Amino acid sequence: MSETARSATEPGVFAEWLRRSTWVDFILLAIRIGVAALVLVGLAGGLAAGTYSAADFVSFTMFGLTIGSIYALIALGYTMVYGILRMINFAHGDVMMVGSFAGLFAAGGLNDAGVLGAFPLLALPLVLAAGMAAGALVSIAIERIAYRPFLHVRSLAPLICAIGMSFILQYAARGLFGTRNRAYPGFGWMEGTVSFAGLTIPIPQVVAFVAALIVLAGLLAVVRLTRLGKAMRAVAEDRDAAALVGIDVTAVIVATFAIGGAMAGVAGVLYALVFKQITVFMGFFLGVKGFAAAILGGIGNLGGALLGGLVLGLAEALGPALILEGYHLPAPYQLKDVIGYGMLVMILIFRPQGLLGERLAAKRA
Amino acid sequence: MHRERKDAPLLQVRGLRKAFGGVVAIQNVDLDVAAGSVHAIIGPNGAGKTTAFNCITAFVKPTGGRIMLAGERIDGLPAHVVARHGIARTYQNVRLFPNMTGIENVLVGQHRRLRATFWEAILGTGRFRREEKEARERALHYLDFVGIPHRAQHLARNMPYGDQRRLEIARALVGDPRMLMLDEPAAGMNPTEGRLLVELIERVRGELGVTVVLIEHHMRVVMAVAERITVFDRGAILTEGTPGEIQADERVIAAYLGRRSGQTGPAPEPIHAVPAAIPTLEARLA
Repeated sequence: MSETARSATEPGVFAEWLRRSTWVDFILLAIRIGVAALVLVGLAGGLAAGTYSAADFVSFTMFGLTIGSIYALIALGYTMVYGILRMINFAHGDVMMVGSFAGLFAAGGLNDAGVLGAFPLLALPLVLAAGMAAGALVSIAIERIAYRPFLHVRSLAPLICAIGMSFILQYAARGLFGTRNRAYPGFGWMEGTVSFAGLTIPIPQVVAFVAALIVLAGLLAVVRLTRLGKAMRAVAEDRDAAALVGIDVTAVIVATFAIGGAMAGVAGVLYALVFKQITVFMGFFLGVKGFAAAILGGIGNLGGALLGGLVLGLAEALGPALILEGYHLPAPYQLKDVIGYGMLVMILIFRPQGLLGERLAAKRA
Repeated sequence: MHRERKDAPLLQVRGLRKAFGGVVAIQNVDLDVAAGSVHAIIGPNGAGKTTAFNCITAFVKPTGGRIMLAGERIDGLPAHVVARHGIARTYQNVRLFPNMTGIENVLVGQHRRLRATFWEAILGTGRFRREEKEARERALHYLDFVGIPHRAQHLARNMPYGDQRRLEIARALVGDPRMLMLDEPAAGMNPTEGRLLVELIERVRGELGVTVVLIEHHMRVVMAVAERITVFDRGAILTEGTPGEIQADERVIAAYLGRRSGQTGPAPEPIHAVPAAIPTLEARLA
């Protein structure tokens, strides 16, 4: 209620607010008060119950950052494609799934060849590279098939084509690889935990977080420093003007899909390392998570995708323990998606453009 | 219509035609632009001037005809390749990269000149840094050339309109074009700004040796700067000549002011600037 806050010093604020408000404002206010009450009561109850120690919360936070950085990697693919084409790539989640399976087969191959056992540290970059390559290739194919034919046509057809590509990838994978859960072969050194300042963190989480940070730093370097990065920004702002200063728009779009796909591939491999099992259907729910993170941060904004991913990951990891525990629900962690998406809805009600997004009206005016 | 000229034409257009569905926007357009000249295209609204520009810059695909730049065919090539052949342009309604600063806009204009590879950029090698420094210096030089050095760090969308137009010209010039095509550069400018624009166009031709083609309604600007004028009317070329010849041409005035009675077809919309501008021009040239 920015109106009430702004005019708090003036006389008759409440009367003025009443005069201006419609029934919609009353309902929104009721929702806000209700949510705030739910959160506060849950928080107080949870802290009073004292089920979790401070160390538990720190480890929840670490887990939130890990899964959040995976969401961020996926979100970046959505946000980059949106920035350039003003379109959502609905097949992006399945690109991640393909990357994850490519990593699985690479790890299996390395395991059979004995490389995994002999050089476990070398094996990880190789598995990641396989995931990136597969993700990039599939993403380029999606661009060629579902987006390129519509490049100069104002149409929503690419969206439905992308959904079609999503199903094709999902069911092709189902037919080829089966529906059962798969697990990567063990990388010996990743089985343990690291102890750090009294905390115990599983190594895969550390690896995933660090790898995600390296990839994100690399992406930012590409966008900020290279000709390709400048060309991407130019195409995002005005495709025709970019072509007329000599930028090959098609090549820039292909590169964008390739980079987004490679990052989704990394996300797929890291997810498999942290959660130990993958299925051909993982693309859908993780894709939705990544999409939600991109929207939450402000779609089209790279920093926003990163922030949105981390916020969503933290909300999911901390929310159940912090808020739901106070209500003595039987299995609060099962409700992590309720917390995550509930928060998404609330943030978007208050800030429709997302955390770092610009108001569309201002941008396009 | 094709007069003999001793300088070889830089741009040669033959039989250019563009139809949007059943609507013929332009047809039988022949145009020669001499290297190193300033060539104006005038005509009533809807006469097809911008469509001709769009065909030449491959912004739209022509339905027929040939376009040659320095003897090389450029029609049918994608827009970015045409740009790399050395044609730069500005738009009727300014098309900058609105969320980039002045200098960033001009840096993007140098896209095709930069050579440093991906890895050189990531690793920050000497060549990359040298090239980056040169590019910035060039960008600043061209901002200065068009008279807006103080706008380097401002976002394009926050600049006043006149400065946006200048920035667009700087972005076009920084890629070392052979030919600069300006679509109504003086639109929305007051007489003082118009004079500064004339000066700028003369320096583009004189100091940079860039051929200039411009579409313009402000007769004051056209007559001051152009050596040759092509008049479009209803999708075809009405006539071509020197400013003096064009001003004396009855048909041009008729095209602007509407048909005399007895002629068929709807009268084209008259151009606001012309009735006011022509008397002052006559006074100027007398």
